[in-house]
Amino acid sequence: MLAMALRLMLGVTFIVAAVGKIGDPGKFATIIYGYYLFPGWMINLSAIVLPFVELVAGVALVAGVYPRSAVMILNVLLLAFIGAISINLLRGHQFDCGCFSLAATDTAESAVWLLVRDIGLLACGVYLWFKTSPGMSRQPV
Amino acid sequence: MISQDDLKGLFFILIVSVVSAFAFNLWSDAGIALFGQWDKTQGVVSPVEKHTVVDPGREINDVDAMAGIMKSQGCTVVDVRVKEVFDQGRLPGAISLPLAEFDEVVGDFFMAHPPEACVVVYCSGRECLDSHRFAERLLEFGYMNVRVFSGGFPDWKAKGLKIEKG
Repeated sequence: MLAMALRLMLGVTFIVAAVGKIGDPGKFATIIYGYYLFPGWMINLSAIVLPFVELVAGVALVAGVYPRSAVMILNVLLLAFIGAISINLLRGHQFDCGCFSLAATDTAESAVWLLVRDIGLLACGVYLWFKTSPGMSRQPV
Repeated sequence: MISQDDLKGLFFILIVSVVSAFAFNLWSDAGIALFGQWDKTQGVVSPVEKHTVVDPGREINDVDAMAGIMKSQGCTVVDVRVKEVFDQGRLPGAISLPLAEFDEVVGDFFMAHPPEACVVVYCSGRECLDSHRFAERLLEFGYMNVRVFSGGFPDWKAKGLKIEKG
């Protein structure tokens, strides 16, 4: 029951997050650039592909199609987000140029909040990974 | 442990994601180029959207070139940052026309400057698209000779050139 609720929560969280990014890939690319962590050639490709990885993995998790694979992907994404936010917090970098609308990461406080949220989601993801047995994966329809 | 079924699922999810992502980007009106312009030495950075306001051909990328244009061509220099920031420091002779107030100020600007006037717009540097947005609006208004100083106030100040305050 708990695993089912967490699966729904994690899946829907990523679906909702993905929809916003898919609607405005230019803004998402600018956010990725704002981390100052990635080479230029990677930024647009990530902004195009990442939201769809979130969406498809989120839908797969909710629908129970390859849930272990889906949760593995979401955990890797969460680790990457946690790493990126942590690096910027440690180096005191804030996205405050005043030119970009950079979601909720324009202050240290909101970045810490994002970090806490992502760590919480990752805890759910790790729990789900251990709770979902390999035999539960289903073939796609 | 990662089973073979897990790997099959990974492959399935990633293939579906990548194919739909590129197909959607191609079709969507909000789509972006596969590679953006993220090199600040080349000008204002941008994801290069399908309907981008950024025209690299319009940019003045060098502070010395900007100083030369100001001296020789007598262009009107427009600062599109907010007034409080403008008051803290600006290029000599620049006038304040914040982008957010475009509709209110463009009438007076049009009266004072004919469409063939040379206009150079700047904002807060190479991560700021406001100057391009303002330039685009001026072009829609009929102005023909609009340039963007991509380095904006930060590059000008960093070069140690004269600034005005107040």
